[in-house]
Amino acid sequence: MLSALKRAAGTVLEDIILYNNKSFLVPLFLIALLFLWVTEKKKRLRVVLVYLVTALGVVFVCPLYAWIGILIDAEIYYRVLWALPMGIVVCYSAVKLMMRFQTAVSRGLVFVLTLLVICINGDLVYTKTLHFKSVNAYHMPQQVIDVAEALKLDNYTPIAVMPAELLPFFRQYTADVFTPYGRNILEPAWSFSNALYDAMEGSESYYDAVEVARCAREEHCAYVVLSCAKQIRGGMEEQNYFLLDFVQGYYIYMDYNYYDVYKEQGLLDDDVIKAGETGREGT
Amino acid sequence: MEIIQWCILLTLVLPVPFFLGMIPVKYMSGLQRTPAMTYVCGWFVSFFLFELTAVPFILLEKSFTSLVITYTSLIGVVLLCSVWASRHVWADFARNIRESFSQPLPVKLGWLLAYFLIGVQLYMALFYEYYDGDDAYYIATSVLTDKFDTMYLRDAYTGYLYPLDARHALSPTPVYQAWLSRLSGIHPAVISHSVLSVVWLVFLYCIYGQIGNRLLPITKKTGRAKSNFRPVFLIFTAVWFAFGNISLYTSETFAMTRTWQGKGMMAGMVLPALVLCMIYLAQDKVSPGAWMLYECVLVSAVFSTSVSFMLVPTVVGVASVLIGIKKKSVRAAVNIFACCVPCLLLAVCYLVVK
Repeated sequence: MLSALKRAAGTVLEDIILYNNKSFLVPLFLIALLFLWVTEKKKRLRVVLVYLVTALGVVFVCPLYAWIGILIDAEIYYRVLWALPMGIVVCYSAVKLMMRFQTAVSRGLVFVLTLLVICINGDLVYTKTLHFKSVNAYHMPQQVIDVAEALKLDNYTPIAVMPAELLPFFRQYTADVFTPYGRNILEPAWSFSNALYDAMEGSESYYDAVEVARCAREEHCAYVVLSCAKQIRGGMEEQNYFLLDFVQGYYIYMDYNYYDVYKEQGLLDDDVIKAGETGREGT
Repeated sequence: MEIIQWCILLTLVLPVPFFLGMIPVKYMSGLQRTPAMTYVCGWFVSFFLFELTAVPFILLEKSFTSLVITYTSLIGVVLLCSVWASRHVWADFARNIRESFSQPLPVKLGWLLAYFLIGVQLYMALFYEYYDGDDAYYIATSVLTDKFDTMYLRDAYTGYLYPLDARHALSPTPVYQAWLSRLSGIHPAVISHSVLSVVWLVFLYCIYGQIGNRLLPITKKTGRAKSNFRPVFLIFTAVWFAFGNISLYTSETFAMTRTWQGKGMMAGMVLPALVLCMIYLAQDKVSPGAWMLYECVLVSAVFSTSVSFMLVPTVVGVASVLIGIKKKSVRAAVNIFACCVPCLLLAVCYLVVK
């Protein structure tokens, strides 16, 4: 039990370090809290912003509480820190500090200094590389939308496999196509594995058409979407597929085995039938 | 057709929450009766009602359509009551708005700067996209819910059928977004990324505005002009949020980059609103409206994320003891903690179905 508590204490410390990430904002919060301990006179505010915040801080770093929290979900224990109103405490302390001065110049100086301290020690959210100018109202890459539109059938929900870069967005756009795996397979920590994924992503420079076709059939995929950035070794046509469309740098192949069944059952759209028949004439 | 869809959606996220907030605000003091407070209360009333309506439907594996019909009817009835209740509130709104126009120039400039900073953040939320992997679960769940008319019975990553996803089922934020999508006909990804990312940021700053109002009363010293530091508080808050991205884990990062997700809501809106409620509850006299808001916030915490099952009882437990001591009243402490009972029941539910 003692060692479990020690481990929990270590995890909490690690979470706080990761949360703060070499910045000064968490220490700034502690300084602001200390300032309120000394200066806040209103009882109702003192109870919430001083006593409650301090007590919560103590509870969250308490090894026993942390041990229970980690037992429930270790990965997200850091979120208990959200209950400490760091922004409110820091901003309110800064305003209180301003109010202690009587002249406009000194107040202005505190105002500017506060902004500088936050800006210099913080990290602007928009400068991170994951922020892009959006190209559509969906806020997702246009090629995902175009590929999804090309795969949809009016009367049936087919299964399609596609390159890894489309996976995080594809299912956000449509549920009209099933996928044998999704974005979950891209998270190494979640330990998902799939032979078709290995066949699709095994090489950075080429697709092995034989292996992709074999695995795709095992997963009952009617469609295979391949990126034009990679070579296709062997040719999908030789595996009884036809090229349905080429969209935004992606080849969309359809398996003739599914094509024939869907066609017989009247599930295919006219443009798919046209592409299928053209492909057949070509071979 | 598209214009009608957008009108419906904007009605659902702007006037509907505003009017829903009239009931709690009617029972608040005159000073608390502001349009921003009404909007804040309205959103929490929406989440409260949705949580209590949706969870039984989800656990009983009923269709999404039946939930849509029930919740929409419920909202309709509450909305009618709210519009009726609002007749007592407009006069206070008018007075509060009039007062806000009669402020000294530096205060007005302060408000302008605060609104400008918030405006920049709204612009960024609308026109810039942020890649977050978790959307592949949350938005995909909304899309699946709308398409297959089931809730948490399909794998968001594949679309295939699977047993009830109990871990997420009690925090149905994506289902709420699917409800918005079903009523408006607008895609859930557009709703989340282009509408809620903006509207919920406004909601977030409305909460901080109310916190500023409680922390910084307008004072007048003899021989000096009225001092109002509320805009300064909001300016600091806006800058704090913009620069709070010190790591992937901070509440500011979640609030700014995942505003539409339940986690972002918890970090940016629910927990600050809980602090606001605690400030109200620590007062000697608590208005019935503040109690209503408090209850709605607690249930909204469960609505947003399952982390609340641990976090909310802890915060409420500690706060009830401290406020009880401050008021020298066991009853006050018990009352504050008793409001947490619905969350505890949902927590038991979570542990049972998990």
